[in-house]
Amino acid sequence: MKYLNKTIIAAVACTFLLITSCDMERSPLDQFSTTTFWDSPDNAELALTGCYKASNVYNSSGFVRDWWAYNGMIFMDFASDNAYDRRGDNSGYFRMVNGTLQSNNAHVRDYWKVSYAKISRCNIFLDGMETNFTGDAAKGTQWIGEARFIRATQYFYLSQYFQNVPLVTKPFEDTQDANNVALSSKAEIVTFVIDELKKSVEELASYSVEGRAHANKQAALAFLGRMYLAEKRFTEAAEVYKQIIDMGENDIDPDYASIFTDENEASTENIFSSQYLQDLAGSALPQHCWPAQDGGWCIMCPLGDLFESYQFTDGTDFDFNSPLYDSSNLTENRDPRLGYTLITNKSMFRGKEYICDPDAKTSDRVMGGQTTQTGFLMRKFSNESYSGNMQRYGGDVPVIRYAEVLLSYLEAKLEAGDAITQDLLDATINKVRGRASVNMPPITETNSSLLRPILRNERRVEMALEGTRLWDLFRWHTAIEELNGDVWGCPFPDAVRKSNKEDAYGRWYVSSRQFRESDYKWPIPQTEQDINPNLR
Amino acid sequence: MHLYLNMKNKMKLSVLFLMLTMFCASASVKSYSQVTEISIHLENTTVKKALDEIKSESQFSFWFRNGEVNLSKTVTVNMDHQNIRKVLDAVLAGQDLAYSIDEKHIVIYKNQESSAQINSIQQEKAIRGTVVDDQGIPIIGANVVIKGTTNGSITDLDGNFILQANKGDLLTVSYIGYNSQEIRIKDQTAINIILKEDSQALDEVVVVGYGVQKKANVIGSIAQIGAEKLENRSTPKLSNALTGQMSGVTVIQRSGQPGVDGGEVRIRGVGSFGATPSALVLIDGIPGDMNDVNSDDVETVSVLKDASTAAIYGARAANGVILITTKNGTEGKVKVSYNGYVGFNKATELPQFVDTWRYAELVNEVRQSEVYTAEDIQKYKDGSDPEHYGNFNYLEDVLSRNGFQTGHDISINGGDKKNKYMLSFGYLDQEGLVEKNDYKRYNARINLVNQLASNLTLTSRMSGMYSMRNEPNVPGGDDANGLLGIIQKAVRYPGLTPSILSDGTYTTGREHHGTAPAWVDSDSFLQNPNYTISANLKLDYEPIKDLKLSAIGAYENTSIENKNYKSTITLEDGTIPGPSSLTEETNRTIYKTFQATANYSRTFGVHNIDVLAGYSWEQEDYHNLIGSRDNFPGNDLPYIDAGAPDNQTSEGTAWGWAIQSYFGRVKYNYAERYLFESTFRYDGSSRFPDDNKYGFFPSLAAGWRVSEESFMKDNEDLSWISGLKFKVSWGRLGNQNVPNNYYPYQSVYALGENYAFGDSYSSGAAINVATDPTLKWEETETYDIGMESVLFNGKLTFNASYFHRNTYDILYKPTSSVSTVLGQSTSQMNMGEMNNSGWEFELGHQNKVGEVSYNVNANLTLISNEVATLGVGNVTQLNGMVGNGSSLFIGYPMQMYYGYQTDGVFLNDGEVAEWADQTAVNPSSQAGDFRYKDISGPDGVPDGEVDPNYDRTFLGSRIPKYTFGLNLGAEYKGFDFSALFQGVADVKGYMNYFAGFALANQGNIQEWQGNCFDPENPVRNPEYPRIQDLGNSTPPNYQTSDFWVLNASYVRLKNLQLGYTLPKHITSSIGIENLRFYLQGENLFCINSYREGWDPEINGTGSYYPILATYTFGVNLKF
Repeated sequence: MKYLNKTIIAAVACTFLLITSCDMERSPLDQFSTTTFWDSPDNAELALTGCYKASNVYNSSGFVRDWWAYNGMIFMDFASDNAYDRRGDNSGYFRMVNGTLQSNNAHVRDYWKVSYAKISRCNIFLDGMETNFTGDAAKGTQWIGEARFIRATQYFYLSQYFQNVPLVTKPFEDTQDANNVALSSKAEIVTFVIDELKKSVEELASYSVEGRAHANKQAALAFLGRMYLAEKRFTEAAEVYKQIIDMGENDIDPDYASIFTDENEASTENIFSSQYLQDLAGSALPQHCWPAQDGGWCIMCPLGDLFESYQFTDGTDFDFNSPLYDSSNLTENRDPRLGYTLITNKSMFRGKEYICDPDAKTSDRVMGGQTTQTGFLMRKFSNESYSGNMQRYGGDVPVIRYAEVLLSYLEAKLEAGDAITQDLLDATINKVRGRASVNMPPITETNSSLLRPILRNERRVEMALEGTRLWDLFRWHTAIEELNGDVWGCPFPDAVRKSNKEDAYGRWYVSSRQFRESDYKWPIPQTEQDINPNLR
Repeated sequence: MHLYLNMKNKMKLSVLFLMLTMFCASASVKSYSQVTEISIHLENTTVKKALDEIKSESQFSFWFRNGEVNLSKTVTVNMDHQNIRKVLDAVLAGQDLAYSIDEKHIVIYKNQESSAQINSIQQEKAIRGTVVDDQGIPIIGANVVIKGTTNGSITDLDGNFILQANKGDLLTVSYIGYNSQEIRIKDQTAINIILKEDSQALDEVVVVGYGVQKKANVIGSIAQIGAEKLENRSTPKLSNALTGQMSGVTVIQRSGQPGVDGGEVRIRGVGSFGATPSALVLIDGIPGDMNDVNSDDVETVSVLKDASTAAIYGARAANGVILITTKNGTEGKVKVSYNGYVGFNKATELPQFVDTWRYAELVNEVRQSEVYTAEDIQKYKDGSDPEHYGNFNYLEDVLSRNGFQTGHDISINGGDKKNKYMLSFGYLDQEGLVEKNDYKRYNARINLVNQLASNLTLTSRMSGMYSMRNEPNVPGGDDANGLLGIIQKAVRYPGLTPSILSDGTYTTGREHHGTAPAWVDSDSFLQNPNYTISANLKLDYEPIKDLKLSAIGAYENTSIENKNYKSTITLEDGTIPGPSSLTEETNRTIYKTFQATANYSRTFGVHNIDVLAGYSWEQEDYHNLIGSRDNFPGNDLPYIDAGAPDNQTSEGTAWGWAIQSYFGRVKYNYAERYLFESTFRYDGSSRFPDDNKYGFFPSLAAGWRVSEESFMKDNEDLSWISGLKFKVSWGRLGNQNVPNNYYPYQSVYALGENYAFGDSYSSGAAINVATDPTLKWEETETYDIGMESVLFNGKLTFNASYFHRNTYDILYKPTSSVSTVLGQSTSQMNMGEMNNSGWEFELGHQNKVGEVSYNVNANLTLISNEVATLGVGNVTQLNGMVGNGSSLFIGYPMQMYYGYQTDGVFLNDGEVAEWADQTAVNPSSQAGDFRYKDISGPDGVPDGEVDPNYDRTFLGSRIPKYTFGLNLGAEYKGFDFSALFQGVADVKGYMNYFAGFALANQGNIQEWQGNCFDPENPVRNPEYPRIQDLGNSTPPNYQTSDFWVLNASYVRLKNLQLGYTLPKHITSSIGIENLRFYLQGENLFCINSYREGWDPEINGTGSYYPILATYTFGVNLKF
């Protein structure tokens, strides 16, 4: 027993010696330490990719109020006369424009938050490039240009909706500093955007089909154009748009419908798009927007006002009393873009007839639950032959299209007071509406005050549901006229079941809006005001 | 006094004599001693050897007092097939001894002992008395001495004694295992004395960090419950068995979901708004999940509440330490015990919904349009077309069954002096309320104690656990997740159609994905197996007397898997939402530890010292792997390989942490009267940067046992005070509990920030999280002052303590206190400070009246919780409150609600103009909308405008201010009854969206919501305001306000039990030591004013699992 005793003691003592220390230095096993990250110049590309991705999510039915996430972008049309949020009058978008916008509006808060998240990534990236980057200079310049472009666009959006916002251009030294930032004036923000975009125009490569996913010179110029248009600096706007046109890399695609889907997303018309890749980095657009009979949630409900803005094929404006109007075939005799953009009652979608009339027994009956609230759904952006996972669709969503460049160029020339010639019209608006798949009669109006409404309507129709409508209404300062009064949906003149408001044309009543002058400027989120008195 | 052989429980001796008498009365049954024959052949051997031989030959055991039997006497015995009496007569021949035999127990005692006393000459005054225990059973051999003299006596077989005493003498009655008692002789000539077992009062031993301690000498605040309270409580999860049992320990059960229905245990309130305020749970010294432990294996659960007791666990002890000790084998013959129960459960409450026709009418009103025609509504009403116009309750369809529940535990226990063992096996099968939902758990354990040498003991504990949770799942294509997702959607959607049509197809449901009851029926499933094995070896070595060296090594391997299959389903119109998908996940955690301690404990006269020094390290490594595929061919092959290869994904990660610690403790007491204790721990954690890796956590405590002072002991008027102790302690503790963040100070470029450039998916990285490179522990300083008392010989106990916990350097993610302009989320930072202070009271009473013995135990805890500073985010709001404007304010409790006060609703649109201008909150107020109160304004007085900056205020907190429990127990002739009431008060709850709001995102309407504001018949305070279509947003009426913040106080009959123990004379005849049957009800009723149909412990949005009421029938069997 004594022997055993000693053996055990010896064993215990040995064990002691072996295990008296353990590894107290632990580091993450699948993440880069900040201190070593820049040791490899190639890592810069990883960080740049992170700037593009920012808050976006893939393969998820979640919503992200990122200006470029497909839903953050196109759902902005809910806050316009183009579309209605199926989720009703209390939708954060609808409340932006129905006279009940408040500082606790969750969507307003999210756009703010997501903008600064993207800005933060760009600031960290640009700071890292400046102090630590040791790689190929040419590559470095391009990468810096891309991040600079992304950051500038975020400030562009902030300046357009919030106007005065904090201007943050460097990473915060201390977390708490973020609580002490002050507002910069809209003019300061605009100056910053213009300066930065000009720099990035110098730094960025021109558009190419292969490189289309990355920020490019044309995209930077187009945002510069947007900034100038908003600032009513029309001559400068016309100049930058002309630059894009003269570069000749982009063109109007003959097939309107296809450029919004994964089939033809690489069209040169799409200067810069938000990128999705089926299954790997998919979008849930089919989930959100498709009809109930296809398993969709019908969230995007285009409005009658948009439906009525499409001309008849002969180039005349829509009129319920026109003989060309057929209430049983709503796309008959209409600008073909109507059919490319909207799913209308009794039209075919994915090989099935879509029936939403109020008397129908279908799962898509208007206002039957999670179904259209207006009688319309969105066809644009959908590849009808797609049969994969509805939350993993791969279609890109264009941020800047060449069509916008042409229409904006014309608008800049017009507003700058330049003479409007038929050549100019043919090179711009008529090129857009004359493309093979649309083939609408050319515009010949050269009187600028008569041309203005035509151009604005053309812009609305061409760019419908692409998320730019509210911005247009803001900069034209026409929201107060356009976004007041009743909101109507699809005409169902023959339906037995009626909405609760009478309409001469049998239109389905949706809601009403009272846009206020103060709604041109979004309030700084209440939660931000709570934390930082400088923002009150 | 020392007893030989298997004398663990002193009770036995008396029980045995009681039974002996019974046997004399009923001799018709032939006893073991009568039928057993013994053969024994021993030459010149000792009496001891002879008795040992008899013991090994038979099942007899011997009981006698040391010294009375001459064990070394030499005897010779040669017998074949003889009765035990014959054998014993031979063995004990020549000694003046008698014996009595009860079944297998033989008591040997000095002949004539009792009669000698009875016949002793009576001088002075003869005092006769009886000493019994609290069960009324005579205590044999108790010492009865007149204090200060050698004049004494010993009780006889019936517990009787007689001795001579003078009036005024102090009689001391003592017996090992029982509390001594002193009685002053007055005029009485007969005294009946009840001795209390020490386990119920003063001499109880409690488990403390790295050891045990006599309860009387404990200075800190420790609550402990023992096996007897746990064995009888047929609760699947140990945490829930603790509810209401101990003061300062709050258990909140938020879910009844089988397998994940463990309660949330909080000790002395919620200690932090940063790091998780959960207690450190140690199972036999090793951190673990208490809910994986088989309750029947547990010997004690000891909760270290204050700093002086917990500080020895340093950096993880700030929120208390729960020490769970499993049973060890005991010396003696094999004992088998079986505890089993069967029962069923049902939801305590379920929300009721309006009928579908009422739903349709309300929707029409809200939409102001004919969403449902009169014809539709008629069909809903008359049920003429049930396939299309139904009136279903999806929630009841989903929660359709009374879940069957059963548990069986067997343990085998025994050993000899050197080797002891405890083996146990436990089985639990708990069905849920939802079909296909069950939880099965198998526990096995072996605890061995081997004395390798006289000064070397090895304790081995090995346990294994396998559990499996099965649940139905959501089919492919729907955004809901798992069982809670199914329940949430059942809460959400109105039952307008059946779920399954007569032809077997599923109806489309609102989202064209089918309905929740159909999903339960589908092929979708979730499987969640958990395998845990752990081994824990402890070596105790005593190189010299009083010094004990111990080394503990433990290893635990936990594997948790998840298999999540979402099937395809075919809807009535032929569509198949989907695709089907399968995700399989494996998580493996390996935990290792080594601990060494040296403990020196010695008494020098009246000085008792105990010194402990120790070292430990622990490390844990985790690894996971997730793979998925979709588009399975049919639903019969839910295995990864069967899925389509083109959309497969894989993910995986790993992490690890380590802690290294040095600790020590010094205990000193003077005559067990003045008590001092000090501990320290020096803890290092891998989670903190080099400069801040180590933290020092000291504690000090002092106690005074007033009752040990002679001025109390000798004071006859104070003899009703059996024990009185005052104590005070201080200590500093740490908390490093930052879940899922093992490198909280390290700034990293996290990968996974990928973006699709054209046709390629490129890797990306970003610094998503702002970190603090100088991070350190969160610290808590605790002061504790308390008193403990035992009165009237243990009939009454009363304890009270006051504590103050100051937590600072809170490890807090200041997400809602940092501007989003930062653009990153924040990791834990050391910021903020808060205080918890409160009182704990425990009152116990036990007594016996006639044949009824009863006990009442009550505990009450008052806690006030207050934020002292936020660190970042201390912003003065316009209303003067200082905080982040949403969730934390200085001077207010955490987990608070901040919002408006309401004063009913507007009766008509005209009233809006008469009320304060509330356009800043509700831009278009109308009849049926809340009238928000104008509380303040820029000048500190109501300004005629209701505004978020001035008119929001504190509306209450989710942390209960009062927590209480009341245990009632009674026994009468084998019947036992116990009831446990438990509750909380001054606490708020909040339910929103699908659980609280009508028509939330196409949602349903609950019955109480249906009594909404009616413009035709307006009332000021309707049950629900103007009903609105909510979409996915919260319009002005749904801002946080006192209407939505609910009083969540409750009193619950947590447990009710009625048991019957069969009389021993019946059970022992069939070889059973103890047999008890019981009926038990858990969560039987609850008094509260929460929302109709919702349990007050439920918060949230309707993604929940109801709390269950459980009815069981059980058996406790020992033989």
